[in-house]
Amino acid sequence: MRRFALLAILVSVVLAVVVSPWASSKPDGLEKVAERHGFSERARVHDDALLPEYTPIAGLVGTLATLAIGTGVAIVIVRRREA
Amino acid sequence: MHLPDGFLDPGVAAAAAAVSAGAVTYGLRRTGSVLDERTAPLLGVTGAFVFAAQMLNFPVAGGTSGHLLGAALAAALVGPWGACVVLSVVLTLQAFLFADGGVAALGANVLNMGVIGGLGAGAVLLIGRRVLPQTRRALLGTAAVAAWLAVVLSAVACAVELGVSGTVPLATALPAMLGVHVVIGIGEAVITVAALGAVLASRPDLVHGWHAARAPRPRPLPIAEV
Repeated sequence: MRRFALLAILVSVVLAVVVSPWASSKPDGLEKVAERHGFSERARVHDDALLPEYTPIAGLVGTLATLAIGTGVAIVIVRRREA
Repeated sequence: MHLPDGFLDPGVAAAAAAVSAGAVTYGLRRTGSVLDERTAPLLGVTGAFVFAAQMLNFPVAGGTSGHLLGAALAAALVGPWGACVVLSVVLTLQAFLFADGGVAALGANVLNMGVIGGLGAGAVLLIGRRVLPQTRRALLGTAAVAAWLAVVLSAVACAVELGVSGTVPLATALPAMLGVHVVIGIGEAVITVAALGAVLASRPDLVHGWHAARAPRPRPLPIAEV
């Protein structure tokens, strides 16, 4: 598992840090529908986000945070099952 | 299709949050049964990949972009309830750390993408396992359908919530959301098949419900060869 996990994590980090700047900045499906049908103005976006933009650093932080939390959750629920 | 705050009526958002909270709570227990000491790391690793892949918007027609949802890939690795849990972690982090998706709308986003996406994909994968022979082609074909359907079902759920909220008429929202997401679903299918194919080729024992004829054998201790 370790080799697989490390490789998968490496791929994820590369995607989040190196590839993400090349991602399309066009609005996603929901945003486009909102624009087209006149309700995009309703969006209330919180401006106190820790990392408001998806920069490579943000991508790294988020990827590793997801890894950490997901792993923590798994440890807890597997342990609880065996208790 | 992360709903920001303000798109949904607060009552609808709260109801969706109640449903998804219940589903994820139940899903945690089910996932605890599916995973074991060996496969537990998969939850975090799958989450990391889904988070990263969700950053990679790809252009689709009409000045729009799509990105991976990841529900089907997660379901193929950690089961449908595991997919709910994975998506919940990703979406929660996105909402709180990155303001990607509203906080009040988080319940709805988890419901649409995590619960409906995850369980929908899981159902297709389960049917494929029961009905089709266990071949690589059958699994990847099923995964493609599961991936596409997860995106489409999520989009339908989202449209229904928007319609019930009175934000936009359902008769407008449904075809609009479907129209773009049936196309995005194709991208989802392609990425899911590629990723799952890679896992299947290297570690088939990590694929949920796939009975690997030969799991990787532990290396024998040198002393045994004496």
